[in-house]
Amino acid sequence: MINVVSGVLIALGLFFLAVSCLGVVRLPDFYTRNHAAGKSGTLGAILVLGGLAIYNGWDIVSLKLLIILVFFFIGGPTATHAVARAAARHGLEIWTLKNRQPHDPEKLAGDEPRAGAAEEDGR
Amino acid sequence: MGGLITFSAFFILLLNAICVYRLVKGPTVFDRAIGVSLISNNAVILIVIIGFIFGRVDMFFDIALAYALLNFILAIVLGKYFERRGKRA
Repeated sequence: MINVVSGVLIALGLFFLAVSCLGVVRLPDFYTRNHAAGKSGTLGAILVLGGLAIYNGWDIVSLKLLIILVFFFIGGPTATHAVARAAARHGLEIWTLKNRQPHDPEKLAGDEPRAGAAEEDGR
Repeated sequence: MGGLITFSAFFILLLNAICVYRLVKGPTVFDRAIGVSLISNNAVILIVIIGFIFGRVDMFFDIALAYALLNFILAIVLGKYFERRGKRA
């Protein structure tokens, strides 16, 4: 029973970690990438650590795992918010459907960022 | 159950290898900061899972907690630094 519950929790956590990684690689803008990394990454980490704590049973190691879980729960959204606020005050533009400009128009010239566009500019 | 734990270790390693793409080819420095943050989050979970594989969770947990603290401080300091630099420029 405990094995089943912890296995389901770990599998769900791995799914959310994969979603966050895919979002960070595939989404078009900084803010959307930040959204993917912040929420899905934190949820996946919490699910995996909770599953490991349930699998371990009730002892001091499980309590330590709960400590690191609470730290993820508080620290992950705080770090995400700090980076997002820094980007907003730095002046990054938000990606919209009307204005599909990439946020650094010197490096990427078209609608879609082509492969090798950064190398063509001599960087 | 041990098979699932070993599989999750290799899966998280694969996810980290995918996230290196955003770290290398982020258009701005904030994208790179997000890539570093995500890779460090995955690395903390990977350290705990390696502790379960080796049967020494009580030792590996302390390393994981220190690494999580470093990751958090890195994100906060990067945010503060680039926020101030953006205001000045």
